[in-house]
Amino acid sequence: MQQIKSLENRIDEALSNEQLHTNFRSAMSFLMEKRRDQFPDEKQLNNEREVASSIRSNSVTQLPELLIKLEENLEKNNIKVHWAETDLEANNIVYQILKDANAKTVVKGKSMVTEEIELNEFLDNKGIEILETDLGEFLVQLANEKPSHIVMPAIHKNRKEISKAFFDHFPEFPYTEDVDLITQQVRKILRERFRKADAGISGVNFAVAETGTLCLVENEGNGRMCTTAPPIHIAVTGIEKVVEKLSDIPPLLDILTKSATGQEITTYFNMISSPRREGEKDGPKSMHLVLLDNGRSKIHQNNDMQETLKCIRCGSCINHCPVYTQLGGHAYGTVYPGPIGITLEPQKQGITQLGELTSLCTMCGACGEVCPVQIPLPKLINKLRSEAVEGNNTNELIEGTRSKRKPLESLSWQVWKQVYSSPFIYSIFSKIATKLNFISPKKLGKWGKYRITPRPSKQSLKELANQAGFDNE
Amino acid sequence: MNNSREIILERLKNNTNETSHIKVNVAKKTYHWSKEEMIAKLSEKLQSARAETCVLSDAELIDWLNEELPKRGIRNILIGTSIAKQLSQYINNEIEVLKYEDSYESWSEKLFNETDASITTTIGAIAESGSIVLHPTPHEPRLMSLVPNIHIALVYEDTIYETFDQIISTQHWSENMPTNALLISGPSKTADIEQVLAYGVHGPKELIVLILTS
Amino acid sequence: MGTCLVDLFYPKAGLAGMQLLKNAGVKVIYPSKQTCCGQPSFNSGYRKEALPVARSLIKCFPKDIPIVIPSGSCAGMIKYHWSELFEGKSDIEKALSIAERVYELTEFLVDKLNVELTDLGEPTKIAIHTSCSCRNEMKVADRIESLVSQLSKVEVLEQERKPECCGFGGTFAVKQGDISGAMVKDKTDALKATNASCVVSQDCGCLMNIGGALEKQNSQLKTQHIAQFLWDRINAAN
Repeated sequence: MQQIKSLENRIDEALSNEQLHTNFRSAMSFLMEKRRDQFPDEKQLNNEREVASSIRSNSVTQLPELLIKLEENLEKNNIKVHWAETDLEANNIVYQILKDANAKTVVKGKSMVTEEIELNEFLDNKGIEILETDLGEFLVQLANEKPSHIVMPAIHKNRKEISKAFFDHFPEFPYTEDVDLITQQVRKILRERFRKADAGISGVNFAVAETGTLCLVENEGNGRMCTTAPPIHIAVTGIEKVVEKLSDIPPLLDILTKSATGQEITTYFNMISSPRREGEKDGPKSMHLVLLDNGRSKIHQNNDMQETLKCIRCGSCINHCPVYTQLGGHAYGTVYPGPIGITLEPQKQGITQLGELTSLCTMCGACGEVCPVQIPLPKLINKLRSEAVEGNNTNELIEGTRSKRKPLESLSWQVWKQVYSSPFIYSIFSKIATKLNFISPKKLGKWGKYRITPRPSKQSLKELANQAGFDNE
Repeated sequence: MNNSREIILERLKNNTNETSHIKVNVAKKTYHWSKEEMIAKLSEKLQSARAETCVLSDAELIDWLNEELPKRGIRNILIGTSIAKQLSQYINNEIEVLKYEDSYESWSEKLFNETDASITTTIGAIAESGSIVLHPTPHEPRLMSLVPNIHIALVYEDTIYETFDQIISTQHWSENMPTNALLISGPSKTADIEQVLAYGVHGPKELIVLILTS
Repeated sequence: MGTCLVDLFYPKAGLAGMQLLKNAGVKVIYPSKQTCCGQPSFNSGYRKEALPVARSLIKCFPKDIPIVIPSGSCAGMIKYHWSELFEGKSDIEKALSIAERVYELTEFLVDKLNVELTDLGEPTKIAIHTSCSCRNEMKVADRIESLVSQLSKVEVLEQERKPECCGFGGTFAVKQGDISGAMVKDKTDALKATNASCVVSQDCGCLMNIGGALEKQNSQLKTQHIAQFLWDRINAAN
């Protein structure tokens, strides 16, 4: 992804945008509350998380076997399977399928993995019209922006902003900020596109190896439209989305929808196991699944970080992240923002390019507490920080280990270590700090911009304890 | 392409981690609901998602259709070829009965733009989540429950299950998945604009579930 | 255990903690050679520097008796992260034996000592800030609530978005100063809106952050570590 502005600039821009702050505050509070309402019993929630976690752990540890089984059963069901190691390869595969069928217009359901490979731009450059049909994605596409959240792509936009973008594009409709009316107008516009499209593209929420079934959740119906009306359906998925058995689906579906949008279940749960069979009257005539690697197999090889692949893309960690609430999705500059983003993206794109993202975290632990599949996100983020500054720089599994080590910072920690690992040196330091506390720094970088700079007390606790007569051994 | 497959699988297999099969203990939920409770729970959940529900006996179905369809301004109704014969002879003449007889391509314009409502059977329903379950067939193709603005679904009271897990195991889904299995839990909706709910985005704006008692 | 922050910046809070324990009939030892649990550099990715610092701490606590810490974040570091810090090291067993004995102060007062407090102070209204480490890691956020609820003349006011991080995050406050500033502003806004006269917390890092911000904003809202607050209340020291 092109990062025209630096991370620092994007952060500044996000923090100075009052409207953004208000939008995100209200959206995140809304989503957190909805999720809370779905899980009234903490004990039961933890049981459900255990189950979901073990299903996904199973998926990840058995990944190669399950992918082979998935492929076998999909092909038996007449769904053609393609493997793509890189994003470019995946784009070319999709393009080739469309080209072979002389497909010129494509309708697309919401899919983060297609954002990842920048499929829309690729096909656009090849002269293929590709239209986002999820309302949030449609509106974001109109405004020529990227989604700012993995489940609610237009969450950064308020009604006014949406109405303006919509009516700029479709001046034939009377201007309104009424949500129902805008929705009806979008329905009208997209209906004909669904009917006439040459192909439909979607993501996949779960791919069941046992039966060769692709599962999709949605509320609007656009996903079903894209995967049922056009004569070709191409599904794209990361390789980690496979699950072993059909019986794994109910617990995963349940915790996914509750965690993501606080819904007990989405309006539609679509389980596709075949294109149109002999005698059937609708459904795509041909179906394809593109299995995308794009760095996932490398993460898989890294035992410390492998749990990253358990993610079911619910967005719950993002909703609960206090840093994300301040920044919004775009500031991260990556497809996946928030806690999962700062864990996944540096592993996929390398620490040299994205190592700084790991600083966008206070280690508050909220993400780890809500992850439905118990990914220890704070632990993984911390490990990436360690890789960034003191990792083994011949590590082939993550690019850029040790690349963020800065001389001044590492020197500071060396000094700190010397002082704090020696009680003797520390006692001298402590005497100086307390007795001469009037010379403590007035400013501490940006600390002093928002707070008064703390000053050591005149006496340390050690002294007070001694004076108060407490034993010291 | 083949090469990519080998490269990817090689990397995945070449792992120092023990590939131990983690035992998954999926606790099967059971509520021990009576049939009445199942119907009540299913109705309650569907209604909270803005679907309409009605409990009718088999005999009352035709009367309901003949009364309600004109009331709601429905001029034509799409019926699957398996039940079309039975129903069409009883439906009022003012209401045109459409049958999904030919392939979608041959009449997609009429399906999309001129079909007011559809009526489909179901293979069951899930009380816990308030979902109806469809396995589209050559007689009741997939788009019937998606394209028309109003979708009427017939659920037989004996096919209501407590949980999704129960219907999967009782009906042995893993042995024989249909081309497209669907769980539908309400009319189409979105909350993408300022988290305000709006209905009838792309799928049906109205879902009417008729629960039939024998 | 005092913690590095308490030793230099909040010694009175540390002393109050020790006095509360002594008051409850416990013999309290303050090993004089203690320094730090290693968290600052560990969280910055510098694990190699954290290790010798943590090791020097191990030497201070040889006896098999509980180690009580007036900080959720330090307690959490030792209890839940030393296993990672010492992974593969020869002295991991020693480290884990310390980790087993660690308690956050309010956790110890409530769970192990069942302290009973009599409030001798004037009626007052306070807000409680539960630190992320006490809430998410140590799971002892309710212990501070339970101790305060024993004080008959103290009314607790609830601020909006109570569970949200205050933005301290250790070096985060310096490394991502502006984001941290925005977070502490939201937190202080929420606290000020309660009209409480004081904010109490189990963690001095949060207090330094919130208190420092409030002072810069010229707010009348005070902050205090829970140990000091409790000690003052039971001794009518306000």
